[in-house]
Amino acid sequence: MGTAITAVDATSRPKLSRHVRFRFDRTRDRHVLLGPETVVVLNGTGADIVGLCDGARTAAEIVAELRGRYHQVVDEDVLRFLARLAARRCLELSNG
Amino acid sequence: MESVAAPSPMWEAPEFDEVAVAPEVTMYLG
Repeated sequence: MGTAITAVDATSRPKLSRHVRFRFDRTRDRHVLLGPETVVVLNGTGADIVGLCDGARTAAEIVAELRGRYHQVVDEDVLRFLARLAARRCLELSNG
Repeated sequence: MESVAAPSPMWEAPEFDEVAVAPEVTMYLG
């Protein structure tokens, strides 16, 4: 069993882990990630980021896409958020 | 007629809250 990659840089390509599903929770009025024993409740920008994690886009491309939607996107916010979700095994990363 | 694009919202730091639940609950929600 290999060690999961959790370090994120601009070339990382994040995607949802196989056991995680991305859903809109009408009760909470929030997007959530459903794992086997956890529900991860996302805020608006968090949900936008997760929605762009298709395994094809790099982190840099995700940031570029977000710049078209928001003013003053902070790259480091996005990379840190991706790393935190990867550390919780909600995201898988392929680097390079 | 000049069109005015809707202003983009300001960036807000992405956040999440993790809630531990029983497996059958996430299966149901899913």
